[in-house]
Amino acid sequence: MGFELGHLFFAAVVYLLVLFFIAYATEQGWIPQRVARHPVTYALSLGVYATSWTFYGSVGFAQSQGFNFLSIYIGVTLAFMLAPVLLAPILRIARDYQLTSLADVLSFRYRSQTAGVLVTLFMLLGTFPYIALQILAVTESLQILTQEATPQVLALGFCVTLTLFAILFGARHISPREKHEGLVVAIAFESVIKLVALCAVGVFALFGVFGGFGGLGDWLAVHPQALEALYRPVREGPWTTLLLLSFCAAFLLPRQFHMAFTENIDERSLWSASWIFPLFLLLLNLFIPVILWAGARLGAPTTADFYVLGITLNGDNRALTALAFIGGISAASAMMIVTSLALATMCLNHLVLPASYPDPDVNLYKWLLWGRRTLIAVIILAGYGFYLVLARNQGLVQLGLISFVAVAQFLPGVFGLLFWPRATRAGFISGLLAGGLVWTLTLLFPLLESSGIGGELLSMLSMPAGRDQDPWTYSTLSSLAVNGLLFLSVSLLTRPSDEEQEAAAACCRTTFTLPDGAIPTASSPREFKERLARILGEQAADFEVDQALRDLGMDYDERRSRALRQLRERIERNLSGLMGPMLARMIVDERLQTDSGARTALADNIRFIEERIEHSQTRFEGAAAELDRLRRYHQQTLRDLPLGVCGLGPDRQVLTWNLAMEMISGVDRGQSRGITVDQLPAPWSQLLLSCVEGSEQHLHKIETAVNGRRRWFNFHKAALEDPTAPGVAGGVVILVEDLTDLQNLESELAHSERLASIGRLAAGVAHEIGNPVTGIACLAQNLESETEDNDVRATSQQIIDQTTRISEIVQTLVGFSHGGSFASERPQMLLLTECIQEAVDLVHLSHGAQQVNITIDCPQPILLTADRTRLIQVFVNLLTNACDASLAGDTVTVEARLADGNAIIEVTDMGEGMAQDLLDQVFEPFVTTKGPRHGTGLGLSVVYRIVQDHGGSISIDSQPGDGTQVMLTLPGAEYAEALVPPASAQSPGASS
Amino acid sequence: MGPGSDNGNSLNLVLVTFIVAVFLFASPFHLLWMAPGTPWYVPYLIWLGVIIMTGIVQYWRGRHGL
Repeated sequence: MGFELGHLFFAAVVYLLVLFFIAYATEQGWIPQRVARHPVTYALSLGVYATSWTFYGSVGFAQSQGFNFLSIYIGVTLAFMLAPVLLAPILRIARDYQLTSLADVLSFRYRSQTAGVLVTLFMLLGTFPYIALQILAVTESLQILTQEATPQVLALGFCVTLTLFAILFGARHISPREKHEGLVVAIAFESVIKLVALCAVGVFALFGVFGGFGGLGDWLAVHPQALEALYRPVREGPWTTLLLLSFCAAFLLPRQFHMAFTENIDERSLWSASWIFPLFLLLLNLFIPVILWAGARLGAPTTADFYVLGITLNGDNRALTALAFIGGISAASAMMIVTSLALATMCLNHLVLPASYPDPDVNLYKWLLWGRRTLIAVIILAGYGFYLVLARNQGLVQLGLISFVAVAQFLPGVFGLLFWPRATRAGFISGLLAGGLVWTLTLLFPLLESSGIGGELLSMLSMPAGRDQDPWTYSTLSSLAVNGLLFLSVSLLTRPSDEEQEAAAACCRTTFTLPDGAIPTASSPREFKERLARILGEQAADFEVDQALRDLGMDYDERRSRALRQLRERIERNLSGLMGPMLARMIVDERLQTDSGARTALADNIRFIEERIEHSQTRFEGAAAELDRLRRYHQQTLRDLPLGVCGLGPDRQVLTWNLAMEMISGVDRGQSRGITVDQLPAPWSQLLLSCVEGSEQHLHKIETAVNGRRRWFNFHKAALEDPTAPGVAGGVVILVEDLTDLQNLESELAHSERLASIGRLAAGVAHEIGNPVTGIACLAQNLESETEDNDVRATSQQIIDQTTRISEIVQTLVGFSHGGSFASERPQMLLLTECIQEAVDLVHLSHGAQQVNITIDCPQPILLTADRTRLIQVFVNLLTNACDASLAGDTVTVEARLADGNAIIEVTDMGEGMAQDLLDQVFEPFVTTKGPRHGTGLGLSVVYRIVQDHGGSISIDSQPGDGTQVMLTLPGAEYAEALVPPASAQSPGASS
Repeated sequence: MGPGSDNGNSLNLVLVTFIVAVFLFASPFHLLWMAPGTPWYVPYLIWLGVIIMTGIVQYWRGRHGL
């Protein structure tokens, strides 16, 4: 059963197109984000670990090394079991500092470009055999299926096609720091294809070849040596060494690092992956022994490495064979795409950019994009070159294991990264160089030598394992031992630099290193852009500064020194994601220098410590956890204290600004903390400064205007001592007490007291004046009736008029002393409109000569519980004032409506209005704008008292020349829709 | 029990599970379940047991918001 080469190539290209469509559909949002970001998708994307080695080579490995083949996956299981201890810290470091590869992480930790270069070169060298393995597997599979020698040009065609797809998958975006959700989903899809294909072949082997479990059992009973061949190598072979190698490879291989850390969106996905990914690997390997035995039973026409294809050739299973072939393509393409992407970024950051940084006039992003694309092509083609020079007799597993031993050399460096702050760059570099050398001599040179490369020289230099030694154990142990020993000893013999200590503290998080607090010399984001433009170019500088401002939620006009320092750090992190940590630091150090003399000092340190503790809150245990709880309790107490608390450092920077202070001042905590007190908005800068600078410990009833309102405050201050340096001033704490409500209450009380005293006085005066006036009026009436003299009668009439007026004034005084009512009634339900109408009628009687229109606007009748007589008095007084203030022809409007159970009544006139100073005292008795013969000044005082007695409120809005509006709010109102039709009336009236 | 002690317990649990797995796979104990005559699926069952153990630990961590 042969296949046409062209058909197979076409099938592979179609499969890759499907893969690209899946990635494209994800990026376009056609595949929902909940699928793209699901933990299962993430776990499946880690399945890029399973390459052609797993898909084809595992069967061959099982044949030669028995169950040792499982150690390659059980080691991964062990590594992912330690996800919270081992993987999560790496993920956090990579995410926090925008590090996109292992070379980035290690060069960041050891603050060394050399370390980055070495890691990249070693990673490249270790990966080429692995890429060659994939090409070899694909060409071999083509050869098996077509039964003819596969032309090398086809292997080259495969590489070129994969290069295009790798660029389309991962190098379409300008910035490598962006997540490629499309890539993650596509690689997850590839894992599913691999699993389905391998399981389908396994099921075929079990049921198609052996006829089920019974047949398999019978076959094993007849061939006990087959089972023994699986177990024996484990007892004799490199089981533990392979466990160690796969443990390292699980997260150190470039493709694993890329999918596990660079493409991770949610840390919690890692927890799910810690069991889903090993389960995927288990299922993938479940049928490997069965396929091996099926191949043996059928006498498959291939080597054991390709039994996955070989057993399907036995019989008419073209679909299954095609599926197995696609599974192999899937395994190879996933590895090559992700590896080339990861390595291209690494090479760009650590080899190309340091060697040839582009001119600022060049568009940096395009340069980086094309740089990555070119490197992807170069890496895949270099892998192809390695494939060409290798002898075809190399097993798939041998090529893969060479890469595993190579990446294991990074293990000591990662140990220093996570757990040993004392590790130095000299220790790391010397260990890596020595381990790399041993790897080269014991594995790489023997591999090249066996392929006929290098001749005598290589033969002399090679140090292959002895005949009785296992090559993997020999190479792994010797290289790691030399590497680890040098790493430890050189680290202990050298001192870490300040930079290294800072990076170690950031990575290990075992100690807090306070920031140096140096302030950037650039004083604004604009200046940041100008300085960065000289090296990044204008476009990139603009984008990077804007991006950093967006990330931090800062404004473009930010000037605070602390904020600018944060901006500088953010730019460095973002640049790190773009071009690696070392170059980013160099650019920032060179272009955004700091003033080492200026310090943000205490405020920054406190903030930094708080942030670190908040970030580490779930890491405390024992006494530290108890102390943290105590700290939180005190912090919460201070935050919820009903007094404003403002803590200032010795340099007068605001350190504490609690919730009450936010409410009192209206200044947000985030805005106030970190700035000096004189930078606070008015009037708080002056108020707090005067408090700090004054000699008094307490300032009482300080009156000030806040947002146009008069407010009163008490200030209490206390000097703080620096807790770490007794006797040294540590700053000042100020308590701010808001007295505004208390002051308003006191004013109300004083006002009421004044009204009550005046009322009592008025009642006494009215009583004393009333009697003699009545007597005078009687005498005048008598005089008028007893005389015929017209002059005397006229005089008598004038006397009577004047006494009538005196009586009216006296009655008003008596009314005021009784709170506006002569005969107070019990509150009753009444129709508001009727009261208003009655008041309007009364006002018409008394102001009959003045032509003022009074309009009542009450769309719906309102029921109110009130004292009817006193309420009419209110409206009479208000309307009288309104009419007095109006000119002939003016309109006075009375509007009534309901709001939240309150009746709102507005009486508006078009009169001359009042000035603010008069408004402030208009409710005081005897205050009037009318002439001496036209008012007593008691009307509004009476209104005020009646409204208050009803539990309502009154306010006046008036501007000179713009009329006056009096607004009453009376509680206990409701609509009376069923009672009467809506009232809306207009009553022309005549004034007095 | 605060978040700190929960986290401490969960990390301890992770380490204990890991040590059990190392004992099963990387100590001479593995020679016992790799002895001649052992059914071929036994290594897979042990591996599956370790995966289930890891899943349970992660489920516990998830329930405690870790």
